[in-house]
Amino acid sequence: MSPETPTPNKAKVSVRNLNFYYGDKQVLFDNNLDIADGKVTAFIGPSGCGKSTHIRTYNRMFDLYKGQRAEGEIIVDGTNILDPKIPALQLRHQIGMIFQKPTPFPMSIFDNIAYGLRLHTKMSKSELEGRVEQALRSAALFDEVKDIMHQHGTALSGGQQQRLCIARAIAVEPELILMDEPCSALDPISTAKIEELIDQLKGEFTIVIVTHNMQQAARVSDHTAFFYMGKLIEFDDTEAIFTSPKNSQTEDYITGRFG
Amino acid sequence: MALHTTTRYDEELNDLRSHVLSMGERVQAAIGNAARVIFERDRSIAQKIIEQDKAINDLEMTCDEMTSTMLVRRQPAGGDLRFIIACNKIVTDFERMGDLVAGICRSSLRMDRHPLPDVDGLPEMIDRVSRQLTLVLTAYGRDDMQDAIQVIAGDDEIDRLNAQIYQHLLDQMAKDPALIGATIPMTSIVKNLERIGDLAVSIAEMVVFTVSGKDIRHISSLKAASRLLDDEEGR
Repeated sequence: MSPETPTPNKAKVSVRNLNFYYGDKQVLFDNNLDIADGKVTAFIGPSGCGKSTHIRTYNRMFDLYKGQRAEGEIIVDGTNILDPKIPALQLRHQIGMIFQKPTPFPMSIFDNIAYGLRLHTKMSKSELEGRVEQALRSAALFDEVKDIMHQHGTALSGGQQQRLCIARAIAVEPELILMDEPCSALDPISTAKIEELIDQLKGEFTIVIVTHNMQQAARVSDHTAFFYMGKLIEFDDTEAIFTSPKNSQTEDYITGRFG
Repeated sequence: MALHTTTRYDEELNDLRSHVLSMGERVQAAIGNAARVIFERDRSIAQKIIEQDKAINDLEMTCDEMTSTMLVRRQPAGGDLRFIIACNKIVTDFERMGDLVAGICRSSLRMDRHPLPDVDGLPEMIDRVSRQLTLVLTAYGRDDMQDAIQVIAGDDEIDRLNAQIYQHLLDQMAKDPALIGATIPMTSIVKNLERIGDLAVSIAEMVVFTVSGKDIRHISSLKAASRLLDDEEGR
């Protein structure tokens, strides 16, 4: 099967014949797709369709679990990141991830961001402070936390915590940001702020977002991939997917005719 | 196509379709009486059609409300979205048609007792416009692209009749000024019929959009539509 590309943008990630197994059970089947550089790509599909499993292969999250394995190739900037010779730590520096529930570290707001920076590079205190501020500004959080930098990250609201996690991810300047249902625990206003942030970050960063909320996919993404039962059913420009999908399963899903 | 998980959504879509159809049927009934109004000078029917235009206007507003409610509540996508967008445009076309038929009746009343000019070709034009309307209603009611394409193809003949009748009316006025009293209103009757034909094409184009997702307006729509149909059949 030839890889699917909605537009001839340069690919940041090229997925080739990706198969995935939980023990003996195969859950992804020959997924092929290209994630366009600097764009937002959304993965949609019903629960259990494989969209989260798929996104979690991009930073080898499954390495942490016994019995899970991926076959095929995931090429990020010319390197197959499924190659076990690529150290997971380097990978997770390169590829940031945001989860459904905000996961701030149990430390101050400042240290939440500084932690990753200290881990990866040696820098002076003033440089560190500069980088922390810059990351918080990029995540549209700085003005809200500038006077409480040494308070606990967990004291923030859910939406602020999620933006803190995004700030933490972008502080180390990753190649790619993965977001797995980043707004499902947030209220509509916090959701709108995250969506606004996604819009501001794209271009500089390549973003892949898994979402159950189809309207969210329609609002934030440039390209949308529809997964069903572990297969990539259709991948196209977001506008095409939501106005004139080519596949009848996609049509059924986006119009609410599914199961 | 499969039903929505939310059955109320299906009901709303069906409801919208029946309201739009009912608008179209009212326009169709009015056009069906056009010949009687013009040639038999039936003033009471003319008056009735003018009065009934209000019901068509009311239906337009009801349909607009239904579409905006669905956009808000259902956030439609895919074929549903195309259908709702199309309905929004189609009701405007039907409303305009209603006005044009009422206009035909007013012109007819204005002809009063003046002697009628020779309008050879007008009965055929009325008949063709009426059939276009029937066909476009079927196309819309069944999401039938083939019927829609036939409507698009059928407009050329109406345009040809329009030009022919109009020229003939001008010639008669030049020859016999006594005919001017009825001929001027007659030219606007012919013009209105031609516009109704154009609006039927516009509705047919929206049916093509609903079914195929392709916007064929403002390009040679007949060619574009036929090509689409070939593609569909080739699949």
